[in-house]
Amino acid sequence: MRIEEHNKNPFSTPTGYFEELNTRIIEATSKTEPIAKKNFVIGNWRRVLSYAAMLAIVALIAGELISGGVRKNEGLATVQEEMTDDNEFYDTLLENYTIDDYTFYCCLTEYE
Amino acid sequence: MTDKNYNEEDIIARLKDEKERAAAFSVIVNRYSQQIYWHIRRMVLSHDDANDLVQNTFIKAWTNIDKFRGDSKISTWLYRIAINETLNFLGKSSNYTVSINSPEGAIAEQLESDTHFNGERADALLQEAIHRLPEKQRLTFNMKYYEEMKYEEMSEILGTSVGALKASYHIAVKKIEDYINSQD
Repeated sequence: MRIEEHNKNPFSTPTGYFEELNTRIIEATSKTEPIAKKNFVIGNWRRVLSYAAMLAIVALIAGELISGGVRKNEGLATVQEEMTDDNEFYDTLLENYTIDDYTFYCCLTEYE
Repeated sequence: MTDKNYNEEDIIARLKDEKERAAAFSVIVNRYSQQIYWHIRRMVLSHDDANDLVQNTFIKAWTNIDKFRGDSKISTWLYRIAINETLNFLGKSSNYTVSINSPEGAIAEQLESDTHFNGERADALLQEAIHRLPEKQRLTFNMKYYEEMKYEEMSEILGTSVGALKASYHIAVKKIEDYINSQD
């Protein structure tokens, strides 16, 4: 049996139902108030402030991460410079010492 | 207000005016209450359940009237509220409950003994076959077959693509016919 062969609306309602329905709905709604729209200024400013605070925290963390990396690189450069400075220091010492090279190198090896 | 005098843009404008809002809403109730009732009734089958749900639908529409921006038609908005209320209700309790273990014909028998059902055994079986569909597929079937809605309008209400709705409807028809034939 195909669907089209059936009674399209086999359901019924009590007599006068729809006339009373509208009245009942309107009575029920008259006893309730619509929920007021949220105040745009207060509701949205709070949201704006919280977003701004989140952005500020993210920016701070990002800034720390970036500047921390730069400092590390600068530190490495400093160490490299220091190492170079050490060589210059010893070269200078060598130049200024009155002892000869052989004696100086022997002193250095005693501390190895 | 007769259909000829009904102007949706005017009603939407009056809904935004606190002084005109109640009068505009009563126009909406008079125009759509029957349509929404029958839409719900076909889903829940019971008159008492449909009566409660249709009132809840309009009360919810009234209390949330400020959220209606007029982007969609008033009927679309009401249908969405009605469907939401109905699906929530069906998820919790119903006078007509179908489970995996429900014996075939049980819903049809319950309908035949319902004072607000005037159909024959075949009509009751059809309603059972529809009631056994998954809820969203049942909605699709009812809106297309009984309410003769266009797929585009159904798509706007249900938030499902037209293609998916067409497929769902054709599968629903097949399932219903198979179920009815199996009961013969």
